[in-house]
Parts: sequence; structure tokens; C-alpha cells
Amino acid sequence: MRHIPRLAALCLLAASPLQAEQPEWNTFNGNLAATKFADAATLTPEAMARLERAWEFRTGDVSDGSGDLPETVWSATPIYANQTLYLGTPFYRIIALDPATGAERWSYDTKSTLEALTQPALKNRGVAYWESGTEGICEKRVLIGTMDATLHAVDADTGLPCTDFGQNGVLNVNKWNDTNAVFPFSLLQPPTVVGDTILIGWAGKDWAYTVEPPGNLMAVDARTGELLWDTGFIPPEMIPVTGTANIWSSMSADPELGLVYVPVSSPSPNYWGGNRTDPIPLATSIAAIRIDTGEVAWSFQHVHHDIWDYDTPSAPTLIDLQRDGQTVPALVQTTKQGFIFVLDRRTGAPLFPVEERAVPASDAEGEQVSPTQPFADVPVPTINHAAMPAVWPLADLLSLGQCTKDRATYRYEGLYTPPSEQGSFLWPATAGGNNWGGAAVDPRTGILYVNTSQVVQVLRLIPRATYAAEVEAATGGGPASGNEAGFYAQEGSPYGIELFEWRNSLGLPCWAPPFGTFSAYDLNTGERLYERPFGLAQQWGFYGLRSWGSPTLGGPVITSGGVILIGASMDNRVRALDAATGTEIWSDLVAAPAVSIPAVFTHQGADYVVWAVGGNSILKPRVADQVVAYRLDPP
Amino acid sequence: MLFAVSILGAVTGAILAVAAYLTPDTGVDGTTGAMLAVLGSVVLPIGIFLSARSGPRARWWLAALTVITGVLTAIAAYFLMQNLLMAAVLVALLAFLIHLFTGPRRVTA
Repeated sequence: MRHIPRLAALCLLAASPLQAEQPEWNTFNGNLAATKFADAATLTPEAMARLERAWEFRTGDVSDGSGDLPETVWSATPIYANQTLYLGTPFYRIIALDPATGAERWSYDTKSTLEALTQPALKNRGVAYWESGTEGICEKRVLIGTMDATLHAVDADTGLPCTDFGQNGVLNVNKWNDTNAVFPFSLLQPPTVVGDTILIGWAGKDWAYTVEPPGNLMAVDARTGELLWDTGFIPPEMIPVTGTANIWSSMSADPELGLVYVPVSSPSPNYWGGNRTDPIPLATSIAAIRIDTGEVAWSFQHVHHDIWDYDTPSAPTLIDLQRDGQTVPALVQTTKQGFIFVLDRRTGAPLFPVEERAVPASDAEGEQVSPTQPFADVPVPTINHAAMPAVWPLADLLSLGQCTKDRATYRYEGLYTPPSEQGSFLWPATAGGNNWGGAAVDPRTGILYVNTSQVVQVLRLIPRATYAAEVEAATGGGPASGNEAGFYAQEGSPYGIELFEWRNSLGLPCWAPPFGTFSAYDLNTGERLYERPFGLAQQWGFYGLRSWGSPTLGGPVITSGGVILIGASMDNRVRALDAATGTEIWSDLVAAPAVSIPAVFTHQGADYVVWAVGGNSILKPRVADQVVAYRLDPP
Repeated sequence: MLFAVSILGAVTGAILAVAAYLTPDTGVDGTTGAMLAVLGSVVLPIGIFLSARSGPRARWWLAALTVITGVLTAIAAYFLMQNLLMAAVLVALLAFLIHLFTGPRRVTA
């Protein structure tokens, strides 16, 4: 009897937040719910002063594009499973590291072609992990996809191919690319593993063609690579005239409901839709797919007839919310256009009002825009749709009024202003707003944390008759485009495009800062708790003021100790923020912008935060091959 | 003494600027901004030296140009987040200005 208080105390201690551990970080978003929540209670704002750099590792897999290889874009989330850290590289290798020391345990080379077959850079967002639950060779597997559409499965302990998967450990996913196959199914985002099913989306070549492969989701057996089902997102009758609506980003899943939630992108071509005026309900949507059959359970299209390339960019985050005293299984989707859609994940029904509102008409040849688009005012969008940012006086002054002239030249009539021959502002930019990094959510409180780019672009439709001459005149026969900027053909449509950031002749942004923000929202009420400039912009090496913020690529992690961990900004820094206020409490300089989501986990009693630091020339021309680990030892 | 401090500060600044430009992963290595800081901080000790060695008319012109160079270099260092460089340049400037107004004048025949 006298032991009961001691037992109770022990139980309380075990349940105490300070004892919480994050035993694995085994998916791109940390878990299948894509919350990016780390149950690491020792990672508190007060403890950040003790966070130390434990080790760094250089993969050697990096290119700035100046030599024979295309530039690299590395956005891998490190995977912590099987007491090992696994990374995919932009040269399509798997590297297994000791989490405590960074020592290499093994590596595996897919020997993929190092050519930019679809994306403008060699790109990788990491690996996936599967385990059967039993011991033995290849009962634990690491999976990596390649630019040339192969999926490799290797033993997690040795790095040797799992010969029962595909052909000797290699599954040729491109064998299912049999319609409008103008490019391969590039596997840049790691697949999603639910039970013994591997769910595969793919990336294509944006803005190049009108008729492209129709987007689909493929499910294969984790042991054999056998195709279980294949669900397409373009109506069959429209496949001869359009394509894509693919899944290039990460997914989330609710195994209890038997559903995988997929972010579906826009149809092709991206900036003109005269070829696809009939509805494509699954394009630019969130779709719930039954894991066992591939049947579409429900879908929610958040852009009708998308001509802005406002793809659904990230895995929907799954969280249970309180409504009228009831617990509602919900789904939260951040979007490029800045809306935060909160849906019932059983049915797709919105949990906050979504209203169809009239949007501007198009004057482009053959275009028939949707007369309305869905708007959600609650939660408050991460982008201010009420007005485009004002002209930045500093940039305007230094360019003798160029920005003011531009403002009068290009068309802007609010969100969903259509592309035009005179040039239209894209606000937010085609990369968002919010992109593949998505949001982090604390499931205990229902508070969402998200970084947002506040960037203005200009998009100009160029009639086919003059496109080639304009490109030649502008480039002198050099490359027509870079990393999401320049000229793109949209072959097969009446228009090519030119896309560029709205900058003055000196290269300064013409729109007033902030250029990037970080926000927190209470999802139970829809209230925005705070919005702050985040990161430091950088140009020619000079850093901007804190109040200007920075555009971002990559996502945040929230710990149970109340800390946000995030890289993502232009200024080569990884940061910790106090989740309660959004204020910066720790930072460290790394080799390039850490355009990735960190892995946060507990290994041998210590909490670790590990970033892949790779850079992306969308932010600035700096690439790296650095893995950097920070450790917080127990007090 | 002040002249020596100003030269020492300026030379230290030049070394720090070159290090910021050449050392990998300083956050500004290889950038145009860091190169401008290198140019400014290399010109600074030369300007200090020449203005001390020149005649009265040229001295004030050179001093003005040197101060402008130093101020711009310090501003560049601030926006490059190179605080040591900024401090070295400011020390050099301060010592130079004090020396300019209080130090011994070179008399030319």
C-alpha cells in the first residue's frame, strides 16, 4: 500500500512533459499527419542557449551549375529511424549516418543520370523508410527516387539492394508513363509509406508543354514494387488536350480512416487554359484517396480552372479540433495563394466559411476563366489580398521612378488577375505565399505555425507568332530560362510566357517589405495570434533590416517545449523562435539557405535537430552539401 | 601614436575584409558587397598614409576622400554583419580624425 504514492509519482514523472521523447522522425514531415510536431519537451526557449553544434557532414553531392552538371537544389528532410540518420542527395545517393557523430555508416549510389530532365536543377527532397516489424535482411528499407523515374529500395542496415523489389531493388516507375510521355516521371519527393503500401507521386516539367502526362497517384507493394492501383486526376476525355494535375509534393495519411490526403497540382499548360475549358475537378485540389482501393473519397478544389500555377503545394496537416464541444477530425491546407483551408477530413466539408467570389475576366485568346473562385477569410490569409504591396520608395527612388511606372504598366485587379499580354502582377508569386514546406501544428493546442513569402512577380503572355523572336532578342541565343524565371514556351498553346520578379534596374524589389513573415494561428477559432517579419533578406551580400524579413523555402518544426525550429530564409541561417511570440531566440550561420525541414529526434537520451543545408537559386545563387546537427544534452 | 593606431586599425580592417570575402561560409564570402568592403578597407590605410605625407592643400582633399571611404566601408561592414570589420574601420577613422585635427602638421617649404 505504501508503494502507491511512489508508483503514482513515477507515473506522473513518466507523463511529465520534461520526459517526452521523439523516438523517430521517419517521414518527410515527421509523421503521417504532417504536423511537424516533435515531442521533445527539453527543447524549450530557455534551453536554446545550451543547443550546441554536434557535428557536420559534407556529402560532396553539390553543383553550382558552372561546370558540366546542372545546379543542385537540396531540400531533404533527414530521416531518423532504425537508430540511423538517412539522407537522399541531389546526385540521387542515399547516405546513412551515425546520429551521434555524423560518421558515415554506408552509402548507396543509384547511378541515376545527372541531367535536368524535368526540373531545371538536380533536385532531391530525401528518402522514405519502411519496416515490416520483423527482423531480417530488407525487413527495414530505405527508398529513394531519381530524376529519371526509378525507385530504389535498399536494406536499412547495409545499404544493399533489396532484390525482391522491382528488378534487383530497382522499380522502373516510368514504365507506367504511357500517355503523352513528353518527359519522365521524376521522383524528387520521397514517396509516402502507409503500412505496406508505397504511394508515389512525381514531378514533371513545368511551363513547357500543353499536352503532358496526366497526373496520377500510384500505389505499389512495399516488398515487391507490384502496382496495386493507379488513380488519375485528369478526366479521360480531356487527356488528349491537357495533362499534369500531378502530385509533386508530400502527402499525409490517416490509417484509421483508411485515407491518404494528396495535394494535386494545376493542369497544363500552367498559364493559359483555352485548351481545357471543361471542368477538371481534381486539378489544384486536395483529394482524399482510399488507401486500399485508390478510389477518390472526396476532393476540394481550391482554384477553379487554374491559370496561375497555384498548385496545392504541401501535405495537408491532420489535426483534431474542438467544435461545439465535439472533437472534429480536421485537415489544414496552406496554399500558394495564402488561404488556409480547414476541412473535415472525413468529408472535405469546410470548417470555416468558404465563399465563391467573382474574379476578373481574361482578354487572352481563347481563355475562359472561372467566373468565381473560393475565398476563405477565416483564418486570415497569410497574404493580404485586399491590396498588392505598395511601391517601395527606396527602390523607386534609386531607379528614378521605374517601379511607379511598372505599377501603372502591368495589370492587377486583385487575387486571380489573369495572365495577359500587357503583363499581369502575380501576387502572391507563383511559388507562393506558402509552398512545399507547409505548416507545423501543435496537436495539443491546435496552433498552426507557418512561414510565408511576400513576393510579387510579373507574368507576361507572349503570342506564339512573336515568341521565338522575343526570346532571341532578350537572350541573344543564351538560356531562355533559369530556376523559375525567364521565358517558357508552353508549346501547343497560343502563348509562351515570360516570368520575372518585380525588381528595378538595380535588382532591388519594387514592392515594399516585408518580403517574408512568420505567423501563428489558433485553428479552433481561426484567430491569427501573431505575424512577424522573418529572416533577413540578402542582396550582393548585404543583409536587409529585420523588419524587411526574407522570402522562404522550407518549413518549420514545433517542439512540445514550445520552440519553432526553421531554416528557410535567404540569409544562410537556421533559427529557433519562441512559439508563443514568434521572436528569435537562437540562430546559427550555415553554408547556404537551409531550404529544408529539419529532423528533430531523441537519440541516446539527447535531443537532436538536423538540417540538410543545400540552397536553392530561387532564393539566391548559393548551394551547399552540408548536413549540420545540433544537440541538446539533458540538463 | 594616433597615426599608428589609425594605420593599424585600417590594416586590420583590410585583413578582416579579405577574410570575410575569401573564407568559406562567412555568409558573405564571394559576394559583391564583401568585395566592395575589401576595396574600401584597402584604400583606407593608403588614404590615411598619403594624407599624412601630403602637402596642406592635398592633405584636406585626401583626408575628406579617406573619411568618406571609411564611412562607406563601415556602413558596408554593418550591412554585411561583419562587426569586427566595422569596429576596426571606425577605430581607424576616429584615430585618423583626431590625428588630423590635433596631431603634428607636416610643413612643406
